[in-house]
Amino acid sequence: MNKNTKLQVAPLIKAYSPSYPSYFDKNPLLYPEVRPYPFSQKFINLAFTGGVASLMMFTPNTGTAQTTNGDKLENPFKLERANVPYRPVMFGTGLPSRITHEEAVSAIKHAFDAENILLQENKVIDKRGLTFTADGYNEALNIGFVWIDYSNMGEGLAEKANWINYKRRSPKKELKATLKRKYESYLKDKLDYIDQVRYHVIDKNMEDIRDELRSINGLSIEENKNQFEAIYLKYEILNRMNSYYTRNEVLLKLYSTINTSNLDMQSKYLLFNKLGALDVSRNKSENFSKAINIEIRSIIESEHKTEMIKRAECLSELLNYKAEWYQIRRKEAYQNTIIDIIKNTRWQDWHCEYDRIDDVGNQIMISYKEAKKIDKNNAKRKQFIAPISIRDDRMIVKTENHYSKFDNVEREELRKLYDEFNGNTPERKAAKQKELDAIKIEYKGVKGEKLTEKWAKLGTVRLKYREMESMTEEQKEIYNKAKDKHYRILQEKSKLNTEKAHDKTLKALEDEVKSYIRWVKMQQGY
Amino acid sequence: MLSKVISATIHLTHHCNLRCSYCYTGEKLPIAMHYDTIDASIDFILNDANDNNAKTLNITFFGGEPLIEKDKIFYIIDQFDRLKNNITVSYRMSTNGTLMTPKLMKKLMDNDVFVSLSIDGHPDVHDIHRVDAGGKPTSAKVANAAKLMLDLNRCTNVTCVITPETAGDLMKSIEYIYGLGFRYITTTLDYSANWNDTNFIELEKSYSRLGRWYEKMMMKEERFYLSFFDERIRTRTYKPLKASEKCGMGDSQYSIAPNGELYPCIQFVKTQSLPEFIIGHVDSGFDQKCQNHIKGKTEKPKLECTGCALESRCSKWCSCINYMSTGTVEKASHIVCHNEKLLIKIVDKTADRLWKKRNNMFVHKHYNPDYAIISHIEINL
Repeated sequence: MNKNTKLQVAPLIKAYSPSYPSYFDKNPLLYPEVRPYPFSQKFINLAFTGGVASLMMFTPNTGTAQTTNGDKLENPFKLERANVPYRPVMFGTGLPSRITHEEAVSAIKHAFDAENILLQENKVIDKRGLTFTADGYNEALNIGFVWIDYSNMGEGLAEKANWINYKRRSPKKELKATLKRKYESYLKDKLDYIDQVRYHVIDKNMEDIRDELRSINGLSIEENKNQFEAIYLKYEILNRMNSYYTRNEVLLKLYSTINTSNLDMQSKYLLFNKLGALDVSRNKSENFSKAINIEIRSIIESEHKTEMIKRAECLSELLNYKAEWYQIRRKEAYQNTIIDIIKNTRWQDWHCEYDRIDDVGNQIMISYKEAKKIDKNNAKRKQFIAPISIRDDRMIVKTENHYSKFDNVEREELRKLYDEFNGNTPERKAAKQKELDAIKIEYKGVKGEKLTEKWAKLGTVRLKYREMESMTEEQKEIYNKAKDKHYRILQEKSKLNTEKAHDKTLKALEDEVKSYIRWVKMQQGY
Repeated sequence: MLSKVISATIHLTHHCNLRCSYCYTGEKLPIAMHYDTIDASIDFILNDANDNNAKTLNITFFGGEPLIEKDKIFYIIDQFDRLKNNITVSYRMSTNGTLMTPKLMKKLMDNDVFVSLSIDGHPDVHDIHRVDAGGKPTSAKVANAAKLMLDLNRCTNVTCVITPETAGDLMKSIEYIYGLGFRYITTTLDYSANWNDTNFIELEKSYSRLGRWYEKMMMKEERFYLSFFDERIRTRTYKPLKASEKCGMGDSQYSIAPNGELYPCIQFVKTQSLPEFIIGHVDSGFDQKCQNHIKGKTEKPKLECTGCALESRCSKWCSCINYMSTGTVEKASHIVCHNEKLLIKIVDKTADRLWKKRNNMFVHKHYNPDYAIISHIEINL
């Protein structure tokens, strides 16, 4: 058995990027034109003289000379290409960049325009047991498309990950558990706890909370606990209010008004949490925010505080209805429905209008079941709406940022300039490396305090040599200019590459849509 | 749903009339599979096929040299014919060719046995490693066998092993094999050898020459299969294989040693048993625990390959190769790693050149799923 120690397994970071079509590109047998199979002369002779001409027809699904162009077309937007259901990830680092909704829709429409097909935008399709909004649809030709992305992916299109299944406790139980946990943490190390509070204090005026915590001195454990909880809740409520100082003046006013009510601290805290849904300043249209703020102002002006709280709760419930459809919150249809409900219905009857939100949600969201039905309708030639998914591999923007040989030479030149200005001779660099290596050998494999010692020693050596560097201000300016120029060029190159990749992806999408249209026409007998 | 395909290799004997220096099967002793074990093996294979609802069986005859036990080959075929019911059975055999006669080849063809010949290439290259028990060269005998095999089946496959000593002569060997008339050429490295950087430099030069040759042949619209190039191009033009399609190590694929022991792959069947890789016996069936243990080991992700740009295209998943070069199935082979890195690059560049010329043969060979059948017919004409 060979135990070769010289050769090692090492991942290849950058591989040669070939240009011949891969399995996810268009089949070059069919595009841009059908390629006949180059039968050998022997085969042709045999086929014609030996009466086995039928042999030449036995490649029905390939681009042979005997087949017609139309037979080769396939639906390029079968659901199997959509890569759904997909598994959502918690973090996006390293994920490939994909084209946006706007870019995709514009490219798709461009393809339809090129084929002289006029589309009705955002057409609600509600037949054959399907309810969804097609981004574009031509009723006469029975053709269109729906862009499926994170904003309309409904039930079943995203696999349920563990963190999604996490069941929350009731707010009351949650608060009770939090208070218990915090108090235990406080008891464990009071000074440390009080010290840590400063990291969470948003406003300077709240710093007296730390003094209050220091002054806890009840007669019994129970009394101390109560005092702690009261301070904690006061602090949390203030924190919530502070977070609205600049963001939402109206909501702050509502909170302040509620804060002056006779409610106990726990109820106030729970109510504040509940009313978080009223903050619609983020990700919503200006009109929507305006309408909600007008409603909150009207709530603040209620005659009685009890009524004010009830109205605020009702509004919060309305805005929080179907929280799992968080994606539809940004959609205009949803926002218009909410505005309409608020304006035209008594607040006591808002809950009777929830059906309307359900309808809007159903129209916007597409479930996996529905996506399968759309796909089936295509296959059965009932309705030609292409389900185009953001998870489709073809929507990935493949940017290739390579450093050319030229870039590396330039970087090397920069390095030389730096060394020259600083007097970093090869001898000095070798001496520095020698010292660093000696430390590394001395401390090889150390852990804990010794490791800190190693770093400190390495730092000292590096500092010593850095202090020897003697770049003048004038040289520094020359060097920085050269460096900036180099990085600017690299940045521009990278930007250009990204733009190119975007254009390439969008062009490819446009071509696929054109193929789809051709396929549909063929299915319809044109 | 597609029914499962079971691939079973029957090692008829540990004996061989050659003494190839890179042979991994161990000492050559006249230990053959007994007729009782053969009957038990046939029962076992058919039962396994029935249990798995398999409609297709691939039976491979292996050794040692299987032709030493040629009568047993035909006995097994007769038995399967008698007992197979609705199952389709196909037969393959790998031979060194030195015992092949026209009559025997005819009989094998009549019984639909697909024969693969082991030949390392040009006589100068072949005779370095492939010698008989007396140390004499075998290239002349093999060339004769090649002729009579090709006369009866122009689609005969050859297997060519490349060793560090012969890496620089690869082009010469392929040209020789092609000149003999073979159109299906499977190449593999000797993964148990002591490869070093110098050998790989030689190999890279050979691959570059082979790339030019491949391009030339494609431009001439020649029909042929060269595993090193065609399989690498396939890793780009076809969807990556799913784990279940790669290798059925001990699941849908197993080897039966002459004593009836079951192994996950032919590479583990040696004259001396390898207890850690025995997954059962034809008399007692599979040992689920051992199967799972080996599966668990082979399916472990190869952490040393994390982040590799070629991860989806390389053959680091082949457990027996990993075992041969690292001594364990859990680690990726350093030889595979080096080979894939330099080979894939050259293959891709060759394919790019053909694609830029829009070579029709290239497009059909790699994107037309019917190419394999059409070219098979054309080669046989």
